[in-house]
Amino acid sequence: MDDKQIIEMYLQRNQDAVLHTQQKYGKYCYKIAFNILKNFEDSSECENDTYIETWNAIPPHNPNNFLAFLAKITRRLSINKLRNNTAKKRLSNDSVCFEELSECISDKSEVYDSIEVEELKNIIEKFLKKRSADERNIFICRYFYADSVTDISEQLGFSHSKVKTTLHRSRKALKGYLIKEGVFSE
Amino acid sequence: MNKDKLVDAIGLLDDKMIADAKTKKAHTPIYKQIIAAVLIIVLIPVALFGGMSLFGRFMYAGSSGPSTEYEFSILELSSLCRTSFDAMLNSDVGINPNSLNNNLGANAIEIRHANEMRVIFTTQNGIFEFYKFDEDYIESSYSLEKMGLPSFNQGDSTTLIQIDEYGENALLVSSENMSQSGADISYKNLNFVRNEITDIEKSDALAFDAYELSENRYLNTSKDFVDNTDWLSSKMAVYYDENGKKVESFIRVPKDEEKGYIIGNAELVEVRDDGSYKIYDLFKQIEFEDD
Repeated sequence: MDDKQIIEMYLQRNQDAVLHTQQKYGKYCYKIAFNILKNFEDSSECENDTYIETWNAIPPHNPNNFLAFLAKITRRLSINKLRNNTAKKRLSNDSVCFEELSECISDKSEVYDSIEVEELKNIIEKFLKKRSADERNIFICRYFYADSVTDISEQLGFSHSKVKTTLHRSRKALKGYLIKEGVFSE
Repeated sequence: MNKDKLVDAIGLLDDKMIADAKTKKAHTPIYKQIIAAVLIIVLIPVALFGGMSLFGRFMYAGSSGPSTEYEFSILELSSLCRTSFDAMLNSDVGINPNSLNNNLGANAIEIRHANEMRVIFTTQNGIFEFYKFDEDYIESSYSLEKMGLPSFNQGDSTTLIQIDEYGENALLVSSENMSQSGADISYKNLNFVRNEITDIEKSDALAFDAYELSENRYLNTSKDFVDNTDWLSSKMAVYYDENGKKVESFIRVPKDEEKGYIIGNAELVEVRDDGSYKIYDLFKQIEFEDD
């Protein structure tokens, strides 16, 4: 069943929509959650919560890209759970891939503290549009989907070294771009 | 500074960008296919007519490096070791700058190509990875505490780390107090990326490694270099020299009577199948023994 048909079922409040979503994107959502949480139970919970949230969101939403729509929900729910777990000391560490992003931010910056997430998103989008398609895809696989370097290598057909080197360059370039855009000072 | 805002912002990226990243499939670019085809067409006749020797040095430059290329790698490696050590000293994972006794748990070096190498050191509290590819230098540190692992005990006399071909899976073997006939050996399989911890005793594949180690067969030709309480050593990359002979290389740190194990004394040992070996002083860049 294609995505438009599934969305149409949601819009008609047909509960089979959830079943079809699970059949088509269950593993995909679970993988995103597991990449972030590294925990079977929590990942399954996030996958199920994604279905509930999708059910509640459509309508009024009518997503153009169902795959990205689900990914965003799963990622947000998983990160919230990760932060919640960390706060409760159930987990002592953040996801390694997100930890890498610390390299992109500088010391104390009032601009960064006050900037809206939406505005920061626009800056990152502009940055990514200037990068090559390969570099952009590697960046998104790593920092949106929280994929491992090995998974990215296999999926995109690049060597492990290339993925790692590209990510390193991207982080460095992003930091430079954020400085250039005034988010951080040199 | 809190990176959460950056993480959240990436979560809102354009739908098309997000979907494109997942829908792009692995591929071999056409130009690479053409190059591969040309190479096959050219190399097969060359090999048939005995021209391989002409190309020998060129061929090995890409995989392990002819002797001249390799010497260059050793120098580069020495430089990388020094840079790595400086970085460790400045790291917040914690290291004793004067002596690595009981701090340097294990170490590993990989020279994949003349321009690509990796150095890994394990300290009491963390693992440091230093990776150099062409001119890019990537430094990563992994805190054992953050991985939910206990620090190495002061009493650990030997540890060994082996990194897989992707640099992600580390087989970490900590032998607690070898003087007690090595009976209490604990094995852990760390996956840096997924942060999963597996008890390798439950894994058949890894249990094989454990068996090999316990029988001292795993270390095989390195026995003389490794099975010696005066050295901290580890198994490292296996590669092939300019003559196509297998070479196993190890790093070892001799024990100083007064100061313990000092990284500045680290040596690289190459062992060949015929029993011959070379020893390089990693920090002084001096080759001082060659059988």
